[in-house]
Amino acid sequence: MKNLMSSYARTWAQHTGIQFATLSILSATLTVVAIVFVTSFNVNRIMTQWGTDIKLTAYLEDDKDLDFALLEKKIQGMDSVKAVEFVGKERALQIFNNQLKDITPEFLNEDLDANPLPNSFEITLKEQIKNSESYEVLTKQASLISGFEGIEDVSYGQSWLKNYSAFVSGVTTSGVVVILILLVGSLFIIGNSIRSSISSRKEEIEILELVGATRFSIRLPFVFEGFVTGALTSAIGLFICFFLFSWAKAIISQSAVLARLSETMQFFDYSFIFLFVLGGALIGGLGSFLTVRGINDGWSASQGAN
Amino acid sequence: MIQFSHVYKTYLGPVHALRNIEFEIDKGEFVFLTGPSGAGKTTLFRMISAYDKPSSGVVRVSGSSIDELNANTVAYFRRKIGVVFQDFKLLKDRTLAENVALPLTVKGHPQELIDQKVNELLDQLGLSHRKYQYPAQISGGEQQRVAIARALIHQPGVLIADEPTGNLDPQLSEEIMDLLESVNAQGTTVFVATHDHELVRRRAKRVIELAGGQIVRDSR
Ligand SMILES: Nc1ncnc2c1ncn2[C@@H]1O[C@H](COP(=O)(O)OP(=O)(O)O)[C@@H](O)[C@H]1O
Ligand SMILES: [Mg+2]
Repeated sequence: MKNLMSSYARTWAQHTGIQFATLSILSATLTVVAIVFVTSFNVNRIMTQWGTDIKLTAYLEDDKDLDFALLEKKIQGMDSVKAVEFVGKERALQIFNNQLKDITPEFLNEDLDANPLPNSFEITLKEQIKNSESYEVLTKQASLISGFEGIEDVSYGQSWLKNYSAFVSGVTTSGVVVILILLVGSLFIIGNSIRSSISSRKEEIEILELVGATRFSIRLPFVFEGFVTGALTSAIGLFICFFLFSWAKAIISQSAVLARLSETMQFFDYSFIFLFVLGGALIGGLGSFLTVRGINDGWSASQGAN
Repeated sequence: MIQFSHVYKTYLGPVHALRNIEFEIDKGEFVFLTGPSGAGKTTLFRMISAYDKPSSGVVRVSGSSIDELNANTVAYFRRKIGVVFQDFKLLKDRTLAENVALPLTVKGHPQELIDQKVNELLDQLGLSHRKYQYPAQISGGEQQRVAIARALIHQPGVLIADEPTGNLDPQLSEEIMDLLESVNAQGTTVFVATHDHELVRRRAKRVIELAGGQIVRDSR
């Protein structure tokens, strides 16, 4: 360990410029990775919260002979249905009037006999809307229910839900793509910095081979170097991301419309932070391992003549 | 200890660097390898230290066949030999003590044991007072003594030295040869390549002479 640390210190002494550039670029890269993570993490959080509010409304035909109880039982019996609540036309009007009262009291319709509203079922699904897949489940259930006898129409805020779920899927997918690209890039950046460390220590590697150092022990300091660089830059990235996140959250909480949103926003928990730094370290170690593997094959010194 | 049988080495070109090399060096011998520049001395030594493999034939050193070593086993083989070069090959950013300690450090010996052995050896070579200095701070002759100390610290059965005095003046060259002789007197097999005939003539030792990649004389 002492040897590994002193080897790392020597790299800094020999390549202060390259080390600094590597650290800056990687920190920036991993900041973006962290931002992508925190964004999709929060979008999913908000999604899940809102997802519980999503319900289907099945409007019933205005038919006196219709057996509400039987129909309710039939819908309740569906696999994906969590709860069904019957809303009679009188209640519907009451709710409607209550809402209207606040907005345009002059249009209030107290005449229950002329009630234009149909009977309906409020149906809650077991699944929440998180992505386009669950949106498909929703549309399938909706069309199934609308096929039942006695159902006039099924409504579930079709168009906005569709956009909403597409948005969530989009955020997740592009997040994954961006993260993959950045991580592959990080591998190259670390590999490059390790390459320069190796080239300036070519002589040292030769001498170590000469005195019988194993390939493993020759590679280890470089892999360690990548590991430390990865851990350090992912920690810095998280740090910067945390400040940006707090700043964004503060701004959102100022806004009258979005203030409630800021309460839902949350930074990573400790276990994720640990995993993120560990992941950075592993990427760094892998990047340098891939580089050093191509260089030190036990016979580096055989290239140099005496 | 060292055994060459029907060894050929051909580089791309083709350059026939070694042709039908056949000799044997027993345990405890002191042998010179001589010949003009380009005769193939370094090529031969690179095979003994497993930096190269013969194009054909067999090279055996300390019980290992060089041809059969792979990237993993070559390290363990090198722990059985000691190698000295013309250009010393010391690590510039390590103290002399750290340089000498290297073969033990890579074996993972405990630090106290390493310190003790390094002190003993540097004492013998009259370099104790310099152990915390760096290679650039000492003379060429002293650097070569440090390199020899490094080649001996792990008590190898055989020490090979390729032109160990090539960069040194005659006075220092003699001192290095004296040192190698005393190493040999303690039981280590020593094999020294040099194109300096004067140096060889003053010592009554076995001489293998190379010319154009072939052995032209073996005084055994
Ligand atoms: N890596 C190589 N590729 C091609 N030719 C080489 C190589 N190394 C040595 N030679 C050639 O092999 C011959 C022997 O060289 P060398 O063993 O270095 O001789 P010496 O050490 O006796 O001066 C020379 O002709 C040299 O040019
Ligand atoms: Mg030579």
